[in-house]
Amino acid sequence: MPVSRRFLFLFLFLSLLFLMASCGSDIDSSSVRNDTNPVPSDVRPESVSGRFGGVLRYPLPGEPETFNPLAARESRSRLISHLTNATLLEFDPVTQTIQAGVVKSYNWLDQDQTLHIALREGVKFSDGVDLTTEDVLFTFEQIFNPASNNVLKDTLQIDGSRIEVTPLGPLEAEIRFPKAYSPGLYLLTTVPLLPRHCFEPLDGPIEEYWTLDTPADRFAGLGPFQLASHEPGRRTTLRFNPHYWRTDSEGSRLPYLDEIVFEYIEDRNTQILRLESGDLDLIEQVIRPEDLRLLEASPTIDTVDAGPSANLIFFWFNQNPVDSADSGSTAHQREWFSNLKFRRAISCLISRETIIRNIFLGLASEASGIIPASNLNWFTRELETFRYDPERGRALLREAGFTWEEGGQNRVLLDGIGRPVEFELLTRADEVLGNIAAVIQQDLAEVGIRVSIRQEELRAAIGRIMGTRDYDSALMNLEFPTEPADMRSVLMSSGSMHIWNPSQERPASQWEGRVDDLMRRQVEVSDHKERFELFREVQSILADQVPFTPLVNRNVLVAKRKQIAGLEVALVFPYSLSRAWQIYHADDQ
Amino acid sequence: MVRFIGRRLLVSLPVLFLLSLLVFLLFKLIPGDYLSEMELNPSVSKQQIDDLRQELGLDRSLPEQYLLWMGNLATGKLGYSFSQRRPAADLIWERLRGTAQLALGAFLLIGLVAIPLGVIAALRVGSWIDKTILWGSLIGLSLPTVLAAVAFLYLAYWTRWVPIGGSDSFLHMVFPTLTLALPAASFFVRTTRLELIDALNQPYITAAAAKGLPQYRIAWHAFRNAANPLISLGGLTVGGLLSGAVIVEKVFSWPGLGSLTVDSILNRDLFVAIDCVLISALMVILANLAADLLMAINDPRVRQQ
Repeated sequence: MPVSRRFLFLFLFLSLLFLMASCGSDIDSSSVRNDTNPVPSDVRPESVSGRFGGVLRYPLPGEPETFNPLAARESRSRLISHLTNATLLEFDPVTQTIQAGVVKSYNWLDQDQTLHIALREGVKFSDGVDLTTEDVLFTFEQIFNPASNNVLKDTLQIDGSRIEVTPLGPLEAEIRFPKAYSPGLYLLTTVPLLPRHCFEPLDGPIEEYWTLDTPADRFAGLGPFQLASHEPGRRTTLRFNPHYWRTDSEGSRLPYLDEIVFEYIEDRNTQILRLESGDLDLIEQVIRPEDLRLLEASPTIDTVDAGPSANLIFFWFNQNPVDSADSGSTAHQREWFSNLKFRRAISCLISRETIIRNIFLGLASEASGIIPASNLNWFTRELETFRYDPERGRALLREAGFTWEEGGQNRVLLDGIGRPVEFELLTRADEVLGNIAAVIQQDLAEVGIRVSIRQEELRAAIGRIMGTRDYDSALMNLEFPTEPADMRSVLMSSGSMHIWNPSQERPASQWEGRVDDLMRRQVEVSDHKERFELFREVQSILADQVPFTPLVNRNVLVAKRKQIAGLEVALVFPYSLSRAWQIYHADDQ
Repeated sequence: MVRFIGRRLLVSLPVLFLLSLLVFLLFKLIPGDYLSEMELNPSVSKQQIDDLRQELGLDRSLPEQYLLWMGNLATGKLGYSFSQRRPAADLIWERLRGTAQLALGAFLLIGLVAIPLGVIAALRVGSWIDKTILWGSLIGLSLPTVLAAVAFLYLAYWTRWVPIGGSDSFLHMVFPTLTLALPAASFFVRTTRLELIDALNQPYITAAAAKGLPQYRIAWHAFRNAANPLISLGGLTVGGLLSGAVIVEKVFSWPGLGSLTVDSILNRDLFVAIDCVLISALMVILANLAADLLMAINDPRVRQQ
């Protein structure tokens, strides 16, 4: 046989062999519950009743960056962290209340400064090792390790001082805040409890551990699920935690599901088709309103429109001082942007209803402020806002000294000295935001304002907004925290995320000074009602001064296969997997 | 032969160096870095971002970062993934396999389907078979990869012949491979046909036919002479397959180098992005080298040269 043919046959044979051998990796989905451990004492059964077994297949648009809860900054890592770990106190996303969780009791020894906690007896990590206050101490030590850059290091420091933990025994400890701090309990709901035994001997900062290539048997957590396997680029499988402390109404240890499989599927069409074909059980967040409308017709799928999420789409003008470095807008444009009546007028000229109806097909809600209606603790209903009212908008422009030049059919808005009003609207390269920008452009064109849209890739847009500050106005969507104390970087004038004019040395305006004062006071008062009033005033000032124009909150949309039951969809992260322990398959399919 | 391979690889080093420099410069031109997204996260403080920027070396100048990466390369490391906090080499190796599977599958389709179709069309010039094959290949060439991918996705959904997306079994490969191979295979059909028609019209083929050689022997002789441009085309096709893999991997959720390249560029995961670009370039260089070697095996004239 000639060399060339032998070579060809060898090549074909080896190629086929490679393809056959390298495809296929079965996951062992068998799971037998040999539960002989007693349920922890003092656990009140949950009022749920379902069926044990089954797998929930859930798509993620990409891999998580880490399995380490103290390094989890993006939503995929945070979701897996939520399912595999427990926090010191629990924030229930459904009721938006603070729960005891793995802690049996907690009491303030002195007002909002020293907290006594008692852990539940018999709570174990997923590898069977008991939870003790040594684990609590270990977690706080790692958070405040000077060499560590974990996600909680800053947020758990109050005025630069750390929280101290003093174990009083294996199950009791005192947690001391540097000063009376009213959101203290909320802060503790963000602290994931780490198993000390899994990390020792520790060599380096904690965030270097529990990466994506750490073997699954090196993980242990207190969440309803534990990491079973991670196949890079394909999926991550979580298996039920045999030692999870929660029980159902019959006293059986939860969770109901055997496994949750996170499939990495970026393409939304693929997600929808796989849901319809039964390869996936549940999709959310990424669903486009048009897809939800289509899925509503499917006989095998249930759709849920749970209501407005905390994901706010909003618009703002650049109010950085005109002499700041790389300032892109001209001085007269910044004059318009800092004119209160101009900002109020623009707010009155943008039709939220058009956005909701045409872009979201009715599956979004008009936003009145930074706090969405879904925030049960801090939403203020009676805010005086500048809603869509074109006549009022025109009147405000007139009051601010703007006039119209009659130029044939196109009326042009002119400022006090006859310059046409035009500016650029920066947004990220996203279909929905692009469409909303087009609505704003069209609405403002009705009153003779020329808006040019500039869409940039996310990081480039952020670089422009936060770095060079070279933009006129911007349209973005952000998921704001549920607790006001976490919004200080946005609302206080010195905050780095005070996006319209960040990191001010002194408040640029009187009202910003007032907001600073209110934000400082609201973390010092312990009475919730008083805190609420202080924060209500903050919201009122923002509504009145319109430093940004809240447009809409996306609704939380979920599509699931009909046999998936026990789902309670929260309006805040992690939405439908908030109470993953009570989700079950209603039949054997 | 060994000297030839060595020389070719040596010549490719400056290309890789210049390419790495270009990627670094392009990264500098685009605003924002890996940590920019955190700047719009109210839960992450500026101090934390500054600390992370320092930790990841993003506060250093571009030449410093480049030298750091080169230093790593000299010790056999490919740098570090900012997002996954692990060696970039591990990440790339995991994904390289996926793309290699698709590319090999595409080459098999080209070898086993496209080239034989081109041969059939050449041997039946002007017949309805020839015309059908030509029209089919024209459609294959004209169809945008993303449209073909979505069409195959819906085909998978309606027929249930193969799974929709994913990468677990041999069946998962079918449609991604078909999508990836479609434009290249169509091009191969047409090139094979043209080259073979040309070879079949040479005087030595007329002489062979006059001697009474059977048609398959004549076709084989003609094909060997027509094969050189096809082998050369095969080498060049690797670049096209790698570009196509970006779309195919995204649509079919296939974990490969293409999707990693796009993600790392969008996430500004600098070292992973630069490694992906360089490995893709290296694959193109190696494929062209392999094509040259195959031509030498196939054609004694090339060996002598």
